[in-house]
Amino acid sequence: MTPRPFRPIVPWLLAAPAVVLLLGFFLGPVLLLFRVSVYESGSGTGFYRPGTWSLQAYAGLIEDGYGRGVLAFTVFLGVAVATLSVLVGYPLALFIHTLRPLAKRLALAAVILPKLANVFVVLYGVSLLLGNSGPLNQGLLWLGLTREPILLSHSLAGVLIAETYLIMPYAVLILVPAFDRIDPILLAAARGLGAGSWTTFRRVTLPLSLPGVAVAGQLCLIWALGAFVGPLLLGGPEQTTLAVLVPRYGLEYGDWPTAAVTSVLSLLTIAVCVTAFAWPARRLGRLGQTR
Amino acid sequence: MTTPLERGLAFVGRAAAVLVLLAMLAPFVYAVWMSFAPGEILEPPTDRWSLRWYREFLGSARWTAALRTTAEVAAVSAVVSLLGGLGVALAVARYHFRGRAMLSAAVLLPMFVPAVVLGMGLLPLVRGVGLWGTTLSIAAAHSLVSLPVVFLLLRSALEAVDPDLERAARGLGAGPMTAFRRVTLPLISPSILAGMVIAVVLSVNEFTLALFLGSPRLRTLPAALWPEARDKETPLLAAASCLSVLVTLVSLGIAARVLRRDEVHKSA
Repeated sequence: MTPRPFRPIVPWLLAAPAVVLLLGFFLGPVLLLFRVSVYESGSGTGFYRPGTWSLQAYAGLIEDGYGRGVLAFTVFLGVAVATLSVLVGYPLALFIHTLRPLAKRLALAAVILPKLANVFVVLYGVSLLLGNSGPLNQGLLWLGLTREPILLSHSLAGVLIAETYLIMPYAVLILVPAFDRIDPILLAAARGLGAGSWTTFRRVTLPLSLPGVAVAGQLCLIWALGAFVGPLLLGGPEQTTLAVLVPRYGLEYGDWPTAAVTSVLSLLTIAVCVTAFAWPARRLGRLGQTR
Repeated sequence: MTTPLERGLAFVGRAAAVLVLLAMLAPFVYAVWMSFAPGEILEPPTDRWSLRWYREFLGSARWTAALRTTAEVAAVSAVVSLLGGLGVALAVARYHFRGRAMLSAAVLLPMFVPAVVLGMGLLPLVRGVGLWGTTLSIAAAHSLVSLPVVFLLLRSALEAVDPDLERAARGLGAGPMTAFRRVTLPLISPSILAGMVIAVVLSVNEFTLALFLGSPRLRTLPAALWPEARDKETPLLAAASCLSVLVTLVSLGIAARVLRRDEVHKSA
């Protein structure tokens, strides 16, 4: 459309409420985090010692092995959950893409439901399903696959399954439109040239869906690195992530500098991982176009 | 040509997809079933069903206060994210100005910062300005979360509206405000409603920011349920969760009804 003449102030006036909200409640707090992270930890009453500048909180977290272990687990969990979400979400999205409109809407609703419901319900249901007397363990016992219940909740398996429940819907929501955008004529053409369904998938659908896979992987990685509720509810002490430490220091111990350092580290981890993933993601997206 | 092997593989694939979908729904079914348990322990009821935990939840002042707080926070945050999102969507969809690309990128930024990080940054801020433990601070944080979603919805709605319609109204002598109110607003009203519903649903179920910004005297339901989820394993949590899912589904249902009536209205 042709831009109409207007005073340049008009769009900014329209955007003012959002700009105020973003500056005051988003940029402000993030900058404040960096400031709080270089205070000295307070003793006794205060959350920090006002007016101080020190890297003590950084040193305290990075120098001891515990902080480094938590950082390593956070990255591991983020990559694992993002991979799982894309691997499970891809075939599921392909299936949903082939459904008729009504069934498609119902299937998408089932996928989105965990994102629209109280997170406790989802994880609580998951932990009940995984528990010692839950159907999974009972089923394994009944089949004679194990002699005694495998402890699935409060373990790595529990956290992985729980977080995948929370992150996979995003992968499906990104991948279904990616499949919908593929021109059905191409599939018909491949069929007409004598390709079977497997060959059609391998030579047409898969390459054309790779850009969607790259986007889904990138976004799932961002959200999985901030994993908080899953490890909190279904993890043991072994499965502590940076995000779990933030409220522990900030709300329980009242040690704001360490909590802020943990938050800053969490942001840095996301920035580093996303940058590291950007190059393979671009390659992945290009792979689809050069075929 | 499809071989029998390929057909078999396709069938296995479809069966696996259906299983995954059922697995997505399983936790809910299980939680609903559990909420009717008669006893103290987490055992799904088989022969005796009871509404005991629902009565306990609705009969206690602590939980009803949390419900009221949740509703207030959700209402305020829906209005704030609508004002913010609609304003930015109008600016970006209708005008070309310096900083337009930067603005639409900035609105999406809150999606990429983990909730714990945002919560920890907001905590010293709201404590400093004396807003800690107020409905307003939690609602502002929640509107930040739904702002990107509302913005994306309304931007695509506005881009789908034929700009000539508003021009025609202007040509017929309507002022800019009147043209927007009488032409554009009715056309994008379904998206506005959808955005409001999503904002409400996100706010009602948001836990992390509510945990950081709520005080012992003012807690939303998810934050108030958290100690319950951590320490005491009674079916109360299942009952409370089912009630909140019910609220979510009812608001979605109402929105769907209104939207459908809207479409009938237009086609009539």
